[in-house]
Amino acid sequence: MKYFEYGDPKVSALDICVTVASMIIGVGVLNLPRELAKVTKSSDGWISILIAGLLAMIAAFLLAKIAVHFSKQGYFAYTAAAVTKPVAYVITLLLSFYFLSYCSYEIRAIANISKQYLFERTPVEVIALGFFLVVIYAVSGSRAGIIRLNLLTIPFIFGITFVVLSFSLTKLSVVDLKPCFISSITELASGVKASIFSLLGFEVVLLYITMMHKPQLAPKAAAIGVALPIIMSLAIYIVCVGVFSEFALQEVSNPAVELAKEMQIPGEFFERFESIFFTIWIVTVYTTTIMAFDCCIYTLRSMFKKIKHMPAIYMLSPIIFWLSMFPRDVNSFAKMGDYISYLGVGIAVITPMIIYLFAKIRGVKSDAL
Amino acid sequence: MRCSFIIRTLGILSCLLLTTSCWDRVEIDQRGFVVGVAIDSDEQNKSNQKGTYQFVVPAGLKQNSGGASDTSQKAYFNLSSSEQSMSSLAGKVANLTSRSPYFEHLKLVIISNEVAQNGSRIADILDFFLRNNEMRRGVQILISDGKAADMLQIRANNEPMPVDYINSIAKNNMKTNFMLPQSRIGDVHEYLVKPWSFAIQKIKSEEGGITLQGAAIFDGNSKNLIGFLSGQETQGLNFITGDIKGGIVEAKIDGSSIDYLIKQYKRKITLENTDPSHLKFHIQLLSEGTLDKSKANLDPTDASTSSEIEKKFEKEMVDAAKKAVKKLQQSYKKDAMGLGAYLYQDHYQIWKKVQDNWEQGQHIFSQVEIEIAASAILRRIGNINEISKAKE
Repeated sequence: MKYFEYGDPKVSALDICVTVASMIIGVGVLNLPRELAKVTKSSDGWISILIAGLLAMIAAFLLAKIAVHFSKQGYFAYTAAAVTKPVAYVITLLLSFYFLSYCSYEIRAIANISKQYLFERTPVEVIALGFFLVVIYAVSGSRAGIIRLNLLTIPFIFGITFVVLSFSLTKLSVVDLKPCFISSITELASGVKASIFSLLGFEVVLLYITMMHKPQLAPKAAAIGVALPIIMSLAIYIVCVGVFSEFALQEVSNPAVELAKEMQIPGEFFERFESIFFTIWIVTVYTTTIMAFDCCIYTLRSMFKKIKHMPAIYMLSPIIFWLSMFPRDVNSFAKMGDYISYLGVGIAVITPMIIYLFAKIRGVKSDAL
Repeated sequence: MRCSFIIRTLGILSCLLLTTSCWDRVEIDQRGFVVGVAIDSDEQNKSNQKGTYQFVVPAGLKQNSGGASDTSQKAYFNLSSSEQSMSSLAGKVANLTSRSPYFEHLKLVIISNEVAQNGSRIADILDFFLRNNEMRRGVQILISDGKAADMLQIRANNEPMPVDYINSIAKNNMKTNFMLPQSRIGDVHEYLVKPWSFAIQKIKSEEGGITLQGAAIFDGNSKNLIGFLSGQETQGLNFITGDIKGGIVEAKIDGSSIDYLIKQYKRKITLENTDPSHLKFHIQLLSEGTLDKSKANLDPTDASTSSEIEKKFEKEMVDAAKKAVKKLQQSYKKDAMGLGAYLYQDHYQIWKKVQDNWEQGQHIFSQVEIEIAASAILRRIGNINEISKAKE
């Protein structure tokens, strides 16, 4: 196979900002309203989203700030210098496994939802395989291409969300948003946990920082990149509560898709809008999945320099597919999602910060200007 | 060179094997479009449900451009069967018709009062319609007073199918306030998970046709039907819940009727006494509208006459609302008028104290004091002032 090489393999700060946003916007946003309705009362979930969003923005900012220090040598080399090579191998392998399972999770999730709403009789394995083959195709190409793809898709994602939300306003009853501020602190805290989990994905900045022209712009770009999905989640959550009411929202499996099903465009000439919404949403999940896969390869190849790009893909693909088909039912799948999120918070958010402290103490060479 | 060319070609051709078919393909002429479902209880076997499905016959919908309409073919046919659950019922109906039932275009579900009365069967039935992806959350739900299947057999004037006919009536609350706003299955789902009693549109056959006047009241705990409200009580209920989009209020002056067409409506609830054992609600019914019908020797341009007319209408509104309150508070003891929801939304601390004894236990709801006041503003009087200057 021949590769098309871009003239400019580096990306700008805007690309990184959009990449972070589109990595975060995946299947999590579709389910977040229900998760929040389950743990918080009335429409208080917005507080949880805001707190979680603030935390995520700070975390993304710090991660990017740290990442600037290894914007040339890469995460693995930096870690190896800071905490010795064997430890670095373990940490990077775990990070690689995190992205791998992230990728599997997204594939299974989108296959599940597609089966529910689009392909009633097609086996879920076949839907997942079809989706995954296209993912593999994208990952085989250049990394800069993947990152630039995000810039192309994100306007459509926000556009379609805006359309769905604004046409849903006719069904929105404001009284369902009341009463406010009735949830206890512990309820809000579990809401924060659910929101943080759905906002994970900004860790890509750790790896993609090496692609940047001007790495020093990364912290700001990452923080803004996290802010976009926060606004989106907030808007979707509020509209969902207003349309379904908190009581029924808990019982709806995919609130955002149901919202698209529930909305009506005046004039009744254009029905079944959810299919369009859904098509575009598959694209957003697609970009998330590609990047997760790409990050997995990236981390692996940073450790084992001898492995080439394509063999790595051939090697990982069956594992990812097998892992995505592993959960037996809804419950085990939800559990898998939880484990992945815990792993993500531990290995991709907290660990880099600890490594940074070690690096500071041991005076590791920094790439920051 | 040649060999690799053949292998490549074979490789590409073998890709065709992957694109041979689609799992989900069902040709449109093999689908039986179900537009309405009526559910009755089975007379022989009480645990079963008898479902009547209304299918569309697309050929019957065809309009002849020449003007001479083809009356030989009806646009629909009904099929009934009896089975334990809704999904096995759908399966059984598939045995009876050449085109398997397809629910994407379902518009209406009618449930008979007999079915809805016990065992929270309404939730059992609606589960199928909400869980299944073919149906949408916009499906109409109606509770029939009498056999539900009969409603699908009425003669639809001006519409090709009875379902269309009923469906259009259900949306008519711009013109009348004697029926509830349409009950979508999504709303009913909300009612079923909320702790309060609720009202669903009622349907009844009357003089060969049907009427949607009235409301079916459901208990918030057991989710069973407990009774119906009459047309006027429903009007009162609409006044209290604020679901008024239009409609007429009729009053009497010297034996002849005058009518008031509501154009704008708002209701306001305030809680005057916050002691949980002696709650007192003050409900204001604020309306604006047009004089729709006057009578002889009545000049609405005259300020004192106008305010007298307004007073009459206000009294009528309060009376209607009081009738609904009386029925709900004293006969049914069920809060289908949303006072509990109001407490929950605006006085959450009080609601927390009373929630366990609101409709059950001590029945706080049936003891609360409800004060109703109305205001009617005659914004317009129409094209003429006085219809006639009759002398007696």
